[in-house]
Amino acid sequence: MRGRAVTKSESKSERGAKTLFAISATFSVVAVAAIFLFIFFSSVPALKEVGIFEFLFGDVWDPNRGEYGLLPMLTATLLTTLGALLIGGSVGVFSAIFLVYFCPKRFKGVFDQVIVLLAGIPSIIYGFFGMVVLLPFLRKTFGVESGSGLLASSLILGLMILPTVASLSKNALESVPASYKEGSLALGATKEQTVFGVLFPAAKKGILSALTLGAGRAIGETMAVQLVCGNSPFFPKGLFSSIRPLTVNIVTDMGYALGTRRSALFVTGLVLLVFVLLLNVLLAWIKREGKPQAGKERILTPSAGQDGRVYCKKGGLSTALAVVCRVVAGLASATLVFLIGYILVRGLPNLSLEFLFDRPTYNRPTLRGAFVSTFYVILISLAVAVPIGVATAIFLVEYAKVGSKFVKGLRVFIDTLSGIPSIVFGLFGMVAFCGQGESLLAGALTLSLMLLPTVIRSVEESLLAVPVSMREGSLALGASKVRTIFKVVLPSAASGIFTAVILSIGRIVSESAALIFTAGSVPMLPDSPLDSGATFAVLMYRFTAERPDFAAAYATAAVLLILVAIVNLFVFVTERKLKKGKK
Amino acid sequence: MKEIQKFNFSDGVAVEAKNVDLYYGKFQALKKVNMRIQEKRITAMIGPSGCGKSTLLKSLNRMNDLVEGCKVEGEIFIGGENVYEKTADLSRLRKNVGMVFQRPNPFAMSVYDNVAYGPRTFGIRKKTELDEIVERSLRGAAIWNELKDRLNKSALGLSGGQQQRLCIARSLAVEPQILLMDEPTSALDPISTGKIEELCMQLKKDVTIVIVTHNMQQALRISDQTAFFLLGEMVEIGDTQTVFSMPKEKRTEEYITGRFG
Amino acid sequence: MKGEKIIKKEKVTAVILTATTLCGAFSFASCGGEKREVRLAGSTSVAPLMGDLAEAYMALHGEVEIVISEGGSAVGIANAKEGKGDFGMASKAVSEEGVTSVKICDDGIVVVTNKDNELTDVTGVQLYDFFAYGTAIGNITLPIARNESSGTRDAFEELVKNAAGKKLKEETSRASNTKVFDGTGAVLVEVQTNKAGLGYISLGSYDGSVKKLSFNGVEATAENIKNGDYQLSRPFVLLYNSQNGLSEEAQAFLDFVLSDEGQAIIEESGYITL
Repeated sequence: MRGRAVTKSESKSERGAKTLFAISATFSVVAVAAIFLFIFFSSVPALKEVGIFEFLFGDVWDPNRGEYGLLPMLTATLLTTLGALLIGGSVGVFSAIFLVYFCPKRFKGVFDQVIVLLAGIPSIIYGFFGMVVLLPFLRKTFGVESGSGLLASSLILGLMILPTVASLSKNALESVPASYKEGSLALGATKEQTVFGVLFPAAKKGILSALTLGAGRAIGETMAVQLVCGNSPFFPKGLFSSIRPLTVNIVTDMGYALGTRRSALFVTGLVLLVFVLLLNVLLAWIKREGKPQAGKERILTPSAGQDGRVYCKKGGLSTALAVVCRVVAGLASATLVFLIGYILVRGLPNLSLEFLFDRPTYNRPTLRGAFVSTFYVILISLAVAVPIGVATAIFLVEYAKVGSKFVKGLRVFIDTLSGIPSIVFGLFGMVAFCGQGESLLAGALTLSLMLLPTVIRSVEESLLAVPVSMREGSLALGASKVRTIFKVVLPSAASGIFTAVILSIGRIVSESAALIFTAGSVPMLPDSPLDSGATFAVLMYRFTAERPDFAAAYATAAVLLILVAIVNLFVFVTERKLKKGKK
Repeated sequence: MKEIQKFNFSDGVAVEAKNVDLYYGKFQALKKVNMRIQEKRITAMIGPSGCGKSTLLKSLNRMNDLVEGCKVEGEIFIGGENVYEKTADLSRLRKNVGMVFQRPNPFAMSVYDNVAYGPRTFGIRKKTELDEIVERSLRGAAIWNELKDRLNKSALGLSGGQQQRLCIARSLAVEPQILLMDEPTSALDPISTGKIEELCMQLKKDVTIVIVTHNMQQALRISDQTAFFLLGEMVEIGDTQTVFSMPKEKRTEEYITGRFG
Repeated sequence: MKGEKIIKKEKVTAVILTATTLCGAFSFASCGGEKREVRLAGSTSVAPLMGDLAEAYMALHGEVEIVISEGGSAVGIANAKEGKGDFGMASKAVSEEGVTSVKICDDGIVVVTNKDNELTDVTGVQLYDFFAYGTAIGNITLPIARNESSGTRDAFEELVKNAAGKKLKEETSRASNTKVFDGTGAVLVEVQTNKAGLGYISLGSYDGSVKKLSFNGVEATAENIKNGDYQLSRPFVLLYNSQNGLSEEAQAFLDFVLSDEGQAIIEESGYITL
């Protein structure tokens, strides 16, 4: 219905607008292509000198001696991802089951927010939390010399992918038709048996996608892992041996490396990109693999009774699993409360007016610079990402033929863009935008590419939610399509766009890996967007890793958390109003 | 800015369809439809669901263009001009041939902005002028008294009947010559329905009305002319009283007496 | 719904305006006219010292802004070679063609461990075996190293190799349990909190929170470094492109660094003056 009009008499301005939307839509394609090309070309010198085989199968990374084996780090990435999936994946899925089926109604909203907040916490804070709480805890509990390594990385990564897995699994579970549930309950199955025997299998596909996306997040995560992995480029030998995943390899040395070494770090980025592509293929395969009909037969083929059969009450396992759900959900909530509480309790007392507002100097950074830097980055990246994202969404919803090859292709690119790890965006921004050195502008441009998929997706959703009849009403009055879009459709979708903006701001505030090498980590007061400057999250990185100052780190973390909370509050309120408006 | 011309109904005929075939992909929704609609009258189109009456209605102002795979053959003349001509001005057509939909579809704007949307589309920007148009249109749709104090409130807060009359006012604001109404009361309660019917009777002084309805009583109450459609064909058209009391075709009679449909 | 939306739009505008004004106000104070810049880039070890010097200098010369960015000695050398910025900073002796190197002070690399440990002295061989093979020194088992491109790591490995009588190409920092940090501060924190750890930092960064070890029986003091008794030391240098020379401002800043005033600040910061 929302298809392209077959009007023969499109005016020039109409055609112009359409072309403009189409061009914006191809921007994502260009961005992905540019990222691959830039990373690839920056990798060429090292690939030529060292050779791809040596990179992939060499087992020693020691650039000082000309050895560039990535295998230990590849292994580390795979193992930490696996660990994160085992921990965060299972907790995430169980949390989703709890939220959808076992959560008391009045706590549903609360637990929903727990997951949203977990997703919103910046990775640098997770890393810091891991460093100051988890590592000492592991050290004491297991009596090891250093708590860092595989276990700590997996735990922190697990915590980080939990919300991704949980919210996507939740969507999958919620889209299982209600009739499945009724069908099973009507046979006399208990609620637990229904959930684990029928509903969960029926959502299998969506849950697998959720886990795949979770894996993507784990592979690409940089800052949080860097602080807890131990960071030496050797094969993992145990839960506590010091390891270095691929992303960390980039962030650890990029600020220093030159020549072949630098190029070798781009090769590391290239390997990450290939990983992301493979995951995307896997995701596409999962999505295509059969429609969500699994589990159906289960309801339709109950072991209908033969005479004399004895029926027993079963379902012990299901009941146990239901208990696990509750425990796990409680654990997740407790962790969130503990994390936030811990940071605030440690951070707020360290917040002074001087630390907030004094003019920063090189050796005594204050948050004033971060306020200004963050503001510039937010302003510029939104100014770039929102128009392009909105135009792309308009093209996809209002103009593109549903299911055409072009649209399908476009979606592949947008999905790819959203799966690229932020550190790789950072690498790209470094070569693409930092010709004149690091600057807030370069950082913001890099971020705008990262934001694009989110903006496109949420604007698209809100456009789709505008009833077709409104468009018809406007067109029937003789208004042009462009006028209809701008005056009727977009205003109706305003809160969706507003949500996209707020979500983007949250993302910008939390981001550090993509900014360190593009906007720089100099904690000074920028005079203009052409200066380099550190946003809150980057400053936090500086306070934890580059030049530790834990008092400052706690205080910055507290400010960051408050910012994230404000952003979440905004989203919460908007969505709530939206729901009310629909009623 | 170029002024938008009205259509010229010099011979009293507002719409004429000649051999209209309409396809949705491979499905033929209209078969060789021929009909004339008189100026400043109410013409009702009746028939069972899927008979093509709404399809014909929507092809009069080319709203069918929005449907993917829709193809029209034959000719539809409005005031003697073929609207499916390649050079036809879609915007002019739709301004002069307004439409009211089955479900009220006010925009997510204030009442005032809803009504002013059309005039603004065609370049009217002056506040005084717009105020006047808004008042006249709302009066024309018999809803001024109910809404004059809430012009700046969201239109989505109105009741269904009010929304539908607002949509009529919105159409009236661009001074259409023809108003197409696609089952305009099917989503409304009897009282709101009565108001809309009353409104139609008043409007026909200035505007040609074509109304698609499932409610035979409604057709009988308000229309001057009635056309009966079945399976994409126009079976019969004529004076309403005649069509209902002495239909020429057996199929019409069967439908009216409720033997099928 | 629409009514709310209209209000919302106003609210958003208001928020944006307020934010703009606030940030404008924040940055305004800094804008007082065009400032002339002196740009330094390079070694993270040198950067804090330059930060102190820059602060003092800017307090005296309000019209000049000194911008420091960090990226390791290698970046400092490369910048000077390419003529990017005014100065490169490096934490080791540099002899590159086309690059003029000015030594501004010396810095010791000091081996540090947790205060609770009894160890007071290490030898070159001990250090070498510790970092290369993970051979424990008493109950100290955890080697804490810097990242591969760090000038400090480069200098430390070189000096330890020499002291242990090993050849240049031989392995160092290969113990599989090594923890690697990309900043001096991070090493300090790890040593503070972990009894098993032993690492190395710049003497200027030493803040008393960890235990300083003597090397081959020699204390890491200014005097011992000056007279060459303490072997683990390297110079801090500022570099610039020989062909391009220095701008007026850059020259003035360099003069300040080498002046008595500048050297006093260097000494105060814990480095060894010329």
